[in-house]
Amino acid sequence: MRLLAAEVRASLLELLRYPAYSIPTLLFPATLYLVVAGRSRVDPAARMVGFAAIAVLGVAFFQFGVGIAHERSRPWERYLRTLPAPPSARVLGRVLSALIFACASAGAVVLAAGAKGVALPGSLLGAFAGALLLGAVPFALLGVSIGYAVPARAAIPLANLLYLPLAYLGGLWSGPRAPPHLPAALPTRSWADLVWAAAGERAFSISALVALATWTGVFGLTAVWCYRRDEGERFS
Amino acid sequence: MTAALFAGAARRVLCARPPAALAFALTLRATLEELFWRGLVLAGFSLALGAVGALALSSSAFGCMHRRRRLHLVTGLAFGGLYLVTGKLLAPIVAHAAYNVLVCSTLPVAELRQVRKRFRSSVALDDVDLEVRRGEVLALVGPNGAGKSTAVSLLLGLRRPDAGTAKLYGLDPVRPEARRAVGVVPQEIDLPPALRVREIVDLVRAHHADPEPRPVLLERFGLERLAGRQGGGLSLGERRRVALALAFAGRPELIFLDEPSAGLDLESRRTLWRAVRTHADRGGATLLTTHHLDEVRALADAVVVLAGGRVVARGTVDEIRGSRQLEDAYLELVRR
Repeated sequence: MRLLAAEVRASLLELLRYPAYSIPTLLFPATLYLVVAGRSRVDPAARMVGFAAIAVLGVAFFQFGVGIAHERSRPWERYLRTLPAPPSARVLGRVLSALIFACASAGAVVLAAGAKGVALPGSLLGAFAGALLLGAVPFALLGVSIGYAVPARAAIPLANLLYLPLAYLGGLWSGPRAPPHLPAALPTRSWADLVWAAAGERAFSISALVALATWTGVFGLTAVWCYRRDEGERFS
Repeated sequence: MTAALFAGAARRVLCARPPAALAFALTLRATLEELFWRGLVLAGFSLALGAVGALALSSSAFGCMHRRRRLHLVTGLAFGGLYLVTGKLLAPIVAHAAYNVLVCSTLPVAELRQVRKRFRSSVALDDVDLEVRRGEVLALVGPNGAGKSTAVSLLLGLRRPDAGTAKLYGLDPVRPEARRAVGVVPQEIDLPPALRVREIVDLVRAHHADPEPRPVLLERFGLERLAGRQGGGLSLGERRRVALALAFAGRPELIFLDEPSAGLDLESRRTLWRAVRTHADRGGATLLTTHHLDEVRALADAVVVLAGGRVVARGTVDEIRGSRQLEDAYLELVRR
């Protein structure tokens, strides 16, 4: 527990002291929401939850994808492996600090929406948080895959290349009434269906849940494969 | 069977502890084993089988429950015989505890056995045997590319040998519990750039069960003035001093120093040497890789010379040197 607290603390301090990471991560989704959807009268709650999902997506891609790619190239990471703790302690620390950042970033969107008079009824908040968390898992795994698959210099453009296009094409920007006419099989589209349903803007779809679970499996396998390949190269 | 497996695992885990805790744990284990094998099994079967039969049965079972069966059969017979002769359970308990402590304290804390390691077409280590014992400063010397850092990586579980075995306290070094009493100063030092020195020290301390207090570490390695500075703003020498403090954060019994004095000024180098000597005086072991032969002369009890991935010489400094200067002897060995 003491180790986990120290890992989370160190991870948060490091991230907070990089304004180039922390400010865009925390404020960009809320700002984007105000610019893109803040004045819209169409689907206000659904668009708010969509931008909250974009906030979580950003943390998943940048904290896991870029963060892992950056750290695994550092001798410090190698040094930490000589300490008497399993790598899982460090991974758990990273997950918890990402969760805190994701909550803060999604919370900023909710606050921005609140300032515009858009809010979810209290009874839906639990389902909303659950849907966000559910979607965070496959994208965190996709982030892990990126982090272990490519070097740090390639991870940043790759994460950028995937982040906003996936968010847009999945309909997280536009809301349920005007989603882009693109394959419904996109993982962000399944997630969007779930967060909209959690916000009471659309009926719950079991097929979206199944699709997201399938994506979770695919990204999970990819993450394991990329991790093992990297471990094999660096530590065998 | 379960009890034996548990006891075996516990012993191996506890071997990674510092000597005082180790001695206590081994004594406790010896007591429990004697209470069971001699107090319960031997005494219990004596009535039915007679003293000799019960001794044979209990010793055989004692041997079967351990990995090295023949050795344990013999020790079981000895402890059982002692119990039968004295008639007191305290005698085999004391003998068993003394035996355990003696064996454990003479075992190498780190060892490579017939290790081979290749990186694609190049051979990094070829049939290398290496042992570090308690209270010993072992210097691993050799030219660049001789395999020194690979040997250290294998002993720390950062790499796997292609053949042979690497062990830390009798355990696979990949297992975290094998590294509980180990401190490391890596060759390449990179601290988290945004964390302050005191935060880095606290992060590393959190990995250990009984860490050195932060003020003690900072004072011991002259880091008080650096405590509030961020890792990214430190010079190479300052980073090395921090790394040295981190290596001692968990009160290690064995420290790995991989070319620790590269880039250090005279004062920092003296601090390093003082720390190594103090560590050795307290019974700690050190594996030092270095290019500085004056460091070897000043610190090492034993020297292993590596060249082209093979051990080309081993012994004390005097044995390696013979009648020549150490530098001449070294160059002669690595040029062969």
